[in-house]
Amino acid sequence: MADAEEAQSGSTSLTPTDKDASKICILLNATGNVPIIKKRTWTVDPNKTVSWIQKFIHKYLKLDASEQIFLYVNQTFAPAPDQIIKNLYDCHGTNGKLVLYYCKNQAWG
Amino acid sequence: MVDGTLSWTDFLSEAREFLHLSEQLGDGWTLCEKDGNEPNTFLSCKRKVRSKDNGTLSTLISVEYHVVFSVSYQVPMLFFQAHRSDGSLLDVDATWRAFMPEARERSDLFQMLTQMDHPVLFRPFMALHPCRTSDVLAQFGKKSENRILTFISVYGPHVQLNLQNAYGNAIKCK
Repeated sequence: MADAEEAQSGSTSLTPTDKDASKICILLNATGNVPIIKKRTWTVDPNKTVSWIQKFIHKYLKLDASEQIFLYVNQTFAPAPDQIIKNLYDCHGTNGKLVLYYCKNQAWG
Repeated sequence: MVDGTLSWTDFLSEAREFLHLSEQLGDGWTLCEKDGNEPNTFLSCKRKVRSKDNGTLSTLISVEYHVVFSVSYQVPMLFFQAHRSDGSLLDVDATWRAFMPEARERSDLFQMLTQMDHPVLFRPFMALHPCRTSDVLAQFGKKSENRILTFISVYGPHVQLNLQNAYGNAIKCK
């Protein structure tokens, strides 16, 4: 995602360069009461896990430790945290993009 | 605002739908019916998982997961019981060590995973607490297609119950 951040000044639709060719384009949508992330499209290393993205969003939005980020596909299914993005893309990718929904909540207590 | 709670009939129909998906994907969920009364029907599956406890030698434990309807909270609840390969049962402390070692330091451990009576079988089972479940299920922009699937996929990974990616697709082209 570091590379994507450098390209942030440009348009949000990233044109894949040679270095980005192997990366996967994901689209982050906010649902519920979670703050939105201005930049919706990111390119991610295919071997990163779902929990890595959750941690990234958690850090990006500077959330409290008791709050948890949930990631969904198709508004119904939450993929396992140790699942890698490549597998997820193979299963749920559409039009060259992987659409993920995220929201935050306290899971316990 | 979407309501995250389910009625007993919702639970039954969505559990049957989930069972149908599982049969297509062949990952061994079954529906146990004690009798027709509320809440005596629950989803069940057995898995072998590796203990996350790295203090001892990594051991294989067999786990039986149950998804039971909670009458008081009107949401699905995840119950499970774990056995070592010699047949001995993991107590609550061993279960914490095996399933959520990263949460050991947290004071709210008792708010997550404790031992309680299974509402159908009346035997002691480990249970994940249901008090936030309806909030978690309600947080979509629109209603979830199948709240049992959402519930299992959100809470399952905390206790090493991971569903195949294909579940996300199956619900779409149902």
